[in-house]
Amino acid sequence: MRPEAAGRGAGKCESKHMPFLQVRGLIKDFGSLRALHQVGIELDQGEVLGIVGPNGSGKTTFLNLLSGYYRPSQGEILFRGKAISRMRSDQIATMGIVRTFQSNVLYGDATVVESVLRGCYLMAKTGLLQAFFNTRTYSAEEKGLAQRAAEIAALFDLEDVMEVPASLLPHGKQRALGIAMAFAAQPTVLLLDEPLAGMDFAQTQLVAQAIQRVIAEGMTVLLVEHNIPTLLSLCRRIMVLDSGRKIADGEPSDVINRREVVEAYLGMDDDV
Amino acid sequence: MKIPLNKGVTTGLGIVLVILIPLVVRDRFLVATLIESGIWCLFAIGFAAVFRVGQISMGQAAFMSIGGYTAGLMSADLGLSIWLTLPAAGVAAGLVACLLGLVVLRIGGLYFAIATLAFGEIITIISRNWSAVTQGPTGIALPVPDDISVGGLVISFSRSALPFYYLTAALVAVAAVIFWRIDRSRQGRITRSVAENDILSEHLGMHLMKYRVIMFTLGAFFTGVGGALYVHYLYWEGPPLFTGAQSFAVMMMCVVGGINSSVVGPVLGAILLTVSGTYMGILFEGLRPLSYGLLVLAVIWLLPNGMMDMKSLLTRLGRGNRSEVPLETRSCRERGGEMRE
Repeated sequence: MRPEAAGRGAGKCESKHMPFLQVRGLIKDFGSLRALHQVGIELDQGEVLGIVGPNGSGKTTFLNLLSGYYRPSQGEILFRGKAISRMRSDQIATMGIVRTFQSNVLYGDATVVESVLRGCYLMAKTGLLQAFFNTRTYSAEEKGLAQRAAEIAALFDLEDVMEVPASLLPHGKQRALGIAMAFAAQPTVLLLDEPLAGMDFAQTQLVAQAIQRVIAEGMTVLLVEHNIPTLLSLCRRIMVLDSGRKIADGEPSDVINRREVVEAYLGMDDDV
Repeated sequence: MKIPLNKGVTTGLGIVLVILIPLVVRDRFLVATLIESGIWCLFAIGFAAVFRVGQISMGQAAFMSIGGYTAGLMSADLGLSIWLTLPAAGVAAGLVACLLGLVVLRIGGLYFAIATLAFGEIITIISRNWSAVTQGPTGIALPVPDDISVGGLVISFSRSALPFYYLTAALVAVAAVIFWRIDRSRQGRITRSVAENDILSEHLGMHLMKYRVIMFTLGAFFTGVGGALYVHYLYWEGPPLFTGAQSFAVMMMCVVGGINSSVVGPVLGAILLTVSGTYMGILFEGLRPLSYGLLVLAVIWLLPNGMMDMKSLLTRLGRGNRSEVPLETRSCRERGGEMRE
């Protein structure tokens, strides 16, 4: 859809040594429970990172911290060198970090194309007064956004259900719609939280193709997923979390064979 | 010959009807009832504005009161014209709502509803007890607005209720156009998004507080203007005029009219309940609250989405066959009823 590197502000100069997204010593406590222990990572622009780990390992908490849903107890998140850990979710989204949710979080009554259009509004330049007075600039922009929304819906194989309310879509289409809405916001970093959860083979293929399209746009993607084969086909780097700790980070072929990763997933001990 | 009844024609007919009714009917009581209906329309539109961002304000009477006292003090103490007191009342109510909203809209939901309820009570207590300004239970007597001369034509508020009628109609029209335009624009879609799913909206870059505060302030502005208009119409402002009962009444009007609509539903509800309430008070003397309650229950029972559902009710009755309506387009209550059958 866009030949240039994806997202808002893409291409704006960053120092060659400055990581695109940097997480330093991230800690999140919920009362006495420490959900994340000193997690740190650096990502370059366009990188696709898979995040895996058993249930309760802190994957979603990590995304919640990146997207501003939670504030970290300690540690820092830097995006393009700017600290974002104390910002609101909408400010972080405006900077270019947009997420999807583990469950199907949608506008149930809105149609598919209307939902995607709402995602597009992050890109809108005209203000409220121009919208109120229906100025020529506003009308032209609104027309362009509506067209873009329809194109994005088609890109995610949703063209046959454009006018269907989101709540009436089958599970796979709802997941694809969630990604389409986030994609419509034209992020530079896309956080995908278990986009393949609860899907059959055909639905998995549908959503995996949607993610492929996102990656092809050059977006930086953080993908939390339990479906390891699909994850391996999409990511060139994997981070493994276990009980809130980062236990591995590297190339998929290297990471999945590491002893601590196998232990975390299969619970193997020395006798096995 | 079939007349095409599109929205433009319907609106035009509505405007002509509003202009002609008091001239043709010439019934003072009816005109007085319609003026009161119009003022309630302003209150209802103000309440619906806040509801559009998913919040329920249970203390709208506070803004009616702030508008009323602003107009009362400006008019009685400073001798200012109604043309100044009306906008000033709106600004005062809007300003207070903005400041209150910046604090209580952060949490929203049930907390916002309770906070506004409490705020309404605080304003009532202040109006009763701050006698140095509000003159306590005695209230403030307002002078009759000055006559206006337009090209030789003298418009007198003291001789006839018609100037108040047309002023009210004009203010309702302004409020209706503003909220209709907001609803149809991008801001309308964003406010609906914020109301429907605030977490998703925030993660898509929508500033929740901005849209909530804007709508709460705008709603309070028109509620304040309505409050000012009401006290000018009655020539009096006092503590019993705007209390929790009025906050509750305005909610009922919006529910009966159709709360999912920003303008038409609240306006229909305000007119229906004000007019029917007034006439039922005459027909069933002493039984007004009961008959009023029964009417509200009947509307909610037959039209779960308010009077905006009238068309679909008539269609269903006309068909005499409910099963022809697709299941997914029916309300939850209907779907539940069918499953039980």
